[in-house]
Amino acid sequence: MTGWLFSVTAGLLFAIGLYGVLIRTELVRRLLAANVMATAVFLFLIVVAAETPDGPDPVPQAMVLTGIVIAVSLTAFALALIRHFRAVTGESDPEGGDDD
Amino acid sequence: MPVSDLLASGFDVLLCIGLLWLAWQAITGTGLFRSVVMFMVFGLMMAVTWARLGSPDLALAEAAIGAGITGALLLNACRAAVSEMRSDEQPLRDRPSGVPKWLALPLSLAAGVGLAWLMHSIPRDGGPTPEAAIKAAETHFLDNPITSVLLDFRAIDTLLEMAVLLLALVGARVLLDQRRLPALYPVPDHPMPMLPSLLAMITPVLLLTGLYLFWAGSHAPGGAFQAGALLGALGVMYQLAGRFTPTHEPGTVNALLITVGLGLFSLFACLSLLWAPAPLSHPEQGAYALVLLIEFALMLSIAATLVLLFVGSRSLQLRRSTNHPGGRQ
Repeated sequence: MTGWLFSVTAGLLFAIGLYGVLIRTELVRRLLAANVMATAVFLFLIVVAAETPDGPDPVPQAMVLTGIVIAVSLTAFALALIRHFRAVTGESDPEGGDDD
Repeated sequence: MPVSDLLASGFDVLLCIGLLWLAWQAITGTGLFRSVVMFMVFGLMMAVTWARLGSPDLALAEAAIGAGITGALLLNACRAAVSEMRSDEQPLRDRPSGVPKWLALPLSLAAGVGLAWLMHSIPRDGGPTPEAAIKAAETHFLDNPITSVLLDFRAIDTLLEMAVLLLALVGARVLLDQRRLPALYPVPDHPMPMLPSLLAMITPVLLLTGLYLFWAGSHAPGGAFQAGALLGALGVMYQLAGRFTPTHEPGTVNALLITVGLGLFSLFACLSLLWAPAPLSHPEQGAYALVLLIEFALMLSIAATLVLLFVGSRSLQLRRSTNHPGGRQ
């Protein structure tokens, strides 16, 4: 029950994130959407880890822990990139382009 | 079904609904500030979810990094967006995207549901890895299986992660220096009577909690990442209170702090070839002390990098924060 529920939640979270990446053109919001997608993938990994019969599998947990730190550093880099973009173009979105 | 199971299932359902609602609000809501706050609460709910799925290590990391540091970075971005906007520009308007909504919605829903179905059909016997990792962890010198994966079995991942962290910082600085964007929030010039006493109260608590998490990492939930994130949060608070003065010149202490984790880890990788055929193998003697030393270096580097990423994305000409990002003056 728990695994099924969280699998579906992860799928829907991935859908919401993907929808945001496709629909929002304002860059910070698009970054948030990409972060939601990443979280959905983490959730998938941990659901599989939690359902492993020998107890929670430490390998995916360690991978997700690494992933969380990578995600924050990439978010910081992307925010610097966005600020740079805004300084260069004076726009807060790339006119419907997909440059993120 | 016993009442406790029923309650737990009800809690899970509420948790999942909350997660979905918050994610939806963060992405479709109007107003950047509102979205960011929703995203921060989403991070906190994720921390509860990790705890519920039996991963307290992740819960700690998510609460400190996912909700805390990411939230601080995003709030900074909000203020930057408002203050750098041209006066004739609509506040953060959203142009219609190239993909129409009627196409994007079913497309993403199909991707999400398909992914969920695929993940559900993955066999849960785990294969050889969990069995080997769990069995090895029972006899391993580190009692926390996740720490043993991070610093022994898959140490290469952690090593490369530190490289990514450093690369992100260097990349952010290069971008920000290039445009010479002005600092957004210079050191507050008006006196804030509450902040020093708040800092005085919170500094020992955060230092103690951070160091405890670092120490606990070898046998209980915790470790260098969680501890580094907490110390980084302390550094962010010091920056917000104006206790770190941004300067233009790169400082030796700062350079040392951000590179000591990667440096020591790489040194260990090279030296380990002396006693083992493959790099990153631990020696028979003194492995525990070695891991503690590396973890301490990782903790310092993570804390310093997170603080500098926060400051760097905020006032671009910063080369360093003058003091120790771990919170000492």
